[in-house]
Amino acid sequence: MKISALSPAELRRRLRSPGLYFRTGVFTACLRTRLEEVASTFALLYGDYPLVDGPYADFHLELAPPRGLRRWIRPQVAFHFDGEAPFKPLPRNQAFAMFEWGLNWCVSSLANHYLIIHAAVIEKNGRAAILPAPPGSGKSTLCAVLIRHGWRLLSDELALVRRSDFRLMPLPRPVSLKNASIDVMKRHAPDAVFSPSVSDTVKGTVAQMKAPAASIARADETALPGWVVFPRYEGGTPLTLTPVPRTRAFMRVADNAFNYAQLGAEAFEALAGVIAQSDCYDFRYSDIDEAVAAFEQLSMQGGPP
Amino acid sequence: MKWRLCRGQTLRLLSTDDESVIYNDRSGATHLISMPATRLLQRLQQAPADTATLAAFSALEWALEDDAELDHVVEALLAELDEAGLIEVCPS
Repeated sequence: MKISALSPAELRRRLRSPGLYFRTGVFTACLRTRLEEVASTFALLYGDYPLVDGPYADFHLELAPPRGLRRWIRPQVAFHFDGEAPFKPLPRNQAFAMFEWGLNWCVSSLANHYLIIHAAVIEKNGRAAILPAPPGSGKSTLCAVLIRHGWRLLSDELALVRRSDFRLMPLPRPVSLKNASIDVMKRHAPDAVFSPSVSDTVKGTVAQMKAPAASIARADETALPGWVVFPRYEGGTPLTLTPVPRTRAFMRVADNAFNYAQLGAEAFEALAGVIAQSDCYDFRYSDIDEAVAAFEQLSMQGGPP
Repeated sequence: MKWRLCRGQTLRLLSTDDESVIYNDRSGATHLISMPATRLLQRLQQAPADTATLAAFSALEWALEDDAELDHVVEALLAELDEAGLIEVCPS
């Protein structure tokens, strides 16, 4: 049963108590909140995710006003994980963004049975393209565009590599957009569903784009690695797709992995397994349509020998 | 003076034609090294060897003259690998 099957009243009742249990890819989360803005945005963006029965969840989360005067004066919201508050409170209007960031933090901090890379992951024709990139590179915008053009979303933020066989694990969640990319995507995909935009966050203005239902429906399907593409948006420049030696790609991806040092030799083996199966490129783009065409051409290539 | 692979090093490698990434089993670091350096490590994995032997190995490997210039290059590669903690001088 999907979250969208719940009536608005039942959704809110469960969110208040005992919490709403749902699955995103390989993880089960339980969300509790009395905040209406969180409930309404959650209903908007998470309708296609499967409900699960409690009480077990990988992550027990709560969004609630902090104690004291901040409930009323310049109100704030606190994020709780398993009863603890790992972050300082944020302005209350950032509550849903905080939920998304907090859930990402839970995965990137705790899911160490995977090698976790800060990267978007999309899949087509059975092969995954891993897009590692620092913030501001245009990774999320590119990901958001490509999943509207036949690529399956595995994740817009966290590439989870299963250490036993180097396959990528799906974690399809709403795509986080910021600043100019929000308007770019609203123009490019006027029929997509977006959360309300929230300004003055540490990342600027942020909003989330609903993940495609087809990607969520296939959240049990892992994918073999096929490409590692380092994207960079550079306005006004011609599109380039430049091969990167696998050794150099390895070092750059390792730099983007949350738990590479922590996992030691197993991380090396997992990443070597991914890179050995991947064609690696630097990708510079300034035009969305050209980027889509370039990735379409990439998707039709065979794998490395 | 003979060189050997540091104990515990298993030579976990990902290589291209020109270079390798190698995991340092002792320090946990990951190094980017040249293919000639990679081949020296693989030679030392078989058995310890002195600089002259390694220079002769490299001359054969890369079809070069075993001369003073090659000796100098091999010494530099060995110093790099020693610095990284991948090889060490055998105790006398």
